[in-house]
Amino acid sequence: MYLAKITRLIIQNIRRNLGHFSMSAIGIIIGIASLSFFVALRNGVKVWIHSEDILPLNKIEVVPKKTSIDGPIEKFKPINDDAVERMRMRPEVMAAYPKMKFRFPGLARGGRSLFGQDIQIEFIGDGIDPKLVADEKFKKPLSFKDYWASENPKRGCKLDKECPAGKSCNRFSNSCAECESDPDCGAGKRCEPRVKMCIPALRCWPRDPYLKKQDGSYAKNAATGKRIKKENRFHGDCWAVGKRFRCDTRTRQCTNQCTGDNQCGRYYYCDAKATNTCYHAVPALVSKYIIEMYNGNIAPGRNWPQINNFVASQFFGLVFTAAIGDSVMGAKRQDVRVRRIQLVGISRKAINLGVTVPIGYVKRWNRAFALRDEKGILPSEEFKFSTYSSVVIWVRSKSDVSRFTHFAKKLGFEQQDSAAEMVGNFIDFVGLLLGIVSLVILIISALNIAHTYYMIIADRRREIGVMRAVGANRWDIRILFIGEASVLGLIGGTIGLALGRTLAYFVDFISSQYVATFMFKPKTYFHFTWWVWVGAIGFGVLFCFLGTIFPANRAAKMQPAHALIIQ
Amino acid sequence: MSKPVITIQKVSKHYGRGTGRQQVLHDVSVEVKPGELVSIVGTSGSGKSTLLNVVGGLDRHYEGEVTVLGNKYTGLSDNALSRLRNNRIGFVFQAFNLLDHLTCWENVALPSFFGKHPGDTRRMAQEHLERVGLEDKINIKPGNLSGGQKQRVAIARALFNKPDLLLCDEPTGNLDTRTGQQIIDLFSSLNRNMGITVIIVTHEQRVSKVANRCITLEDGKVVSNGAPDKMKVVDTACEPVSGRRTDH
Repeated sequence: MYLAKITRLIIQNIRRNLGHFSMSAIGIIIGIASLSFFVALRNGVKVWIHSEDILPLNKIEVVPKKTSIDGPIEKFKPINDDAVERMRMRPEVMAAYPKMKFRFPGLARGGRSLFGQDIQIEFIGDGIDPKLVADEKFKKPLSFKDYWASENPKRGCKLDKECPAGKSCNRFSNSCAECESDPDCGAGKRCEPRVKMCIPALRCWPRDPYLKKQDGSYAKNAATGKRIKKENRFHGDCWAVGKRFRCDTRTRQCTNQCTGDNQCGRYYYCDAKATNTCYHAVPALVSKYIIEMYNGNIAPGRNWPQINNFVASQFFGLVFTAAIGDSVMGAKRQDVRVRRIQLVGISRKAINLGVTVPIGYVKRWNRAFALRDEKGILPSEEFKFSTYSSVVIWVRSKSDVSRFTHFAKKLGFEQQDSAAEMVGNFIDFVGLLLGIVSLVILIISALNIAHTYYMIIADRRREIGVMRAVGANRWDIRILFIGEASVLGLIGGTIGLALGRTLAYFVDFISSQYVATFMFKPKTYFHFTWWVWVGAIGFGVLFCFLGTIFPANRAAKMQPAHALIIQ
Repeated sequence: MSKPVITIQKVSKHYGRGTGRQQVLHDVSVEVKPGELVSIVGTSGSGKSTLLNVVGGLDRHYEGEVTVLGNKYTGLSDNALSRLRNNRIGFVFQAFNLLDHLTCWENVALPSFFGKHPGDTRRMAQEHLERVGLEDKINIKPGNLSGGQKQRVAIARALFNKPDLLLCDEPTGNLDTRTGQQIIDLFSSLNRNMGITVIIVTHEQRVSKVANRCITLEDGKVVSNGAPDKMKVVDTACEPVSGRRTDH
């Protein structure tokens, strides 16, 4: 009740002193507009850099130490599974993902459908744990995973001695043989002779290739009136075994043996030169950096069209060939393997120049191309597939970075670069500087409000006297004036915030229309979080409140008899 | 015998310091009984308004003892004094002191903004305005009223809290003779019909004529204090019929 009545008085006083208040509020509006603008700019730049994975603050890439200038050259300490596990166990570590670079030559060929002719470039890249991109969405049905590992659960091998005792290494599947003949596989399964693997002994036949409705009639295309074909019409139940299996029309048995790509499932290819087996194309990611580099540096100079997200998405599913072991720069290896690589998406986590594939493929390829003698892989070559080129560490917060870096140094590793921390600190510093400028504006506004209120109180001294005479106590008078100022701050803060937001929209518009495209150019430079909204209005109220404390106190302490004297 | 509404004992007050010191009240001692209508008269600067401010608790810088409605002002907190004014004392000023940005009913209901006054304040304000004959001016702002109407609104405001004590500082000073008389009659009827103790500081002889008692101040001292039937009103003073000034 009291609050409602006081509010009524406050609103009427504001109406009466609208002129005075408008002038005082201008300072608050400008101060809050600049404060919200600068804080949102700082937030926006940080969000842009960190969320876009340009320089995330809580991400560190740990690499083996290369040189030491403060002492004798230290022994090279490789990052192996044990080191990764020790890092992963640290309390400040959220996740640790090893990376492994290609340690073999390679040649990529493809792009006829895009460029009119095949382009041949050196095949370079690295492998990452698919979990690292688990939060990224890919165009369905594409997926970034190690298909070979899921379809060939057995460990890869090259020589018989790499397999358990009594098992031979199958040269087609590069896996340890499961069986030699059908009896080894047990009931319901048979031994696929070429790959020496047990597969379900299914009799298969090409099914009716057309799709049927529930009532038994054929489903038809509404536009053409033609019957709709099933996707897996040739392979029948064999796809239940695996998508790389097909129905051999001659033997009526499921097999993954092939002579051409058309015998394998969608996204599968036939390794016709070596194993005559269907394999899923190796999923690969490219970096957004390549697209940004094209858009920022290559396309503008040649008047080529920009690649936006939609255009880029048209490339997803594109398949090219990689000749692993081949090279345009060096000698060709004897045992060149041809693999199909399928572009499944664009990711900031991919290597900047090259392709990124699931780390399992890289481990197997590096292993396959490690040098061997009759005893097996040379010990000096083991690092190629057993050690990692780096580990991506996500710590829980920015403050954990230095603690973890210290630990990594103790393990004998180093941080790849500390640019993220430096840039983060620089943004904080600039943000703080701009914030201080805004606060100075607000302080000046508060002083202006204080001055205005001293004048208002001098004008209204008789009114104060009357209110005291009818029973207002000192706190009532204080609340009245502070309340007026707080409403002024609320309105000024809201208008200031709206002005700051409008200014931000304007800057974004100017940037989108008139600023040339550059790498990682963001759609917006600003991030107005809930606390920017609340804080800006809160600061408006706070500074008006601070500006009125002394005048309101003076008004409250005024002797009613003196206040009522006619001037 | 009923307890006095106001007891003033040896109250002195001065303004300024050193050579500029000006004594406005000298050892003033007065008592006012419930239901009295007392006029305080005297020349300009004699300390009438100062005495009224002291009684109303609007001025607390004085020496001596003041007890109003059983509340001894010495040691009384500002909150308690504000509550006393809010609940039991009404003020009427010469300059009306209405808040121009509020409507008549809001001006009348002003005490309710600062204290507990249960009920519909607008309706209560309306009733008080009806009592002073301004029922049609509820939503009018004071700027559109005549002097007499403004003073009636001020009286309605003073009556809003159903006061035991009404302190009026030259209530007819800014009014013409006819309107001034109406206001005096209003005070007189309030005193008679509602039993409100009324103290009127005035220059006007006709006010003193309706009062139960007339107190004359001169240079901050009480020079006469008596019932009107024993006094005669001369200029701005009440003098005893015998020609000898008496202390009460």
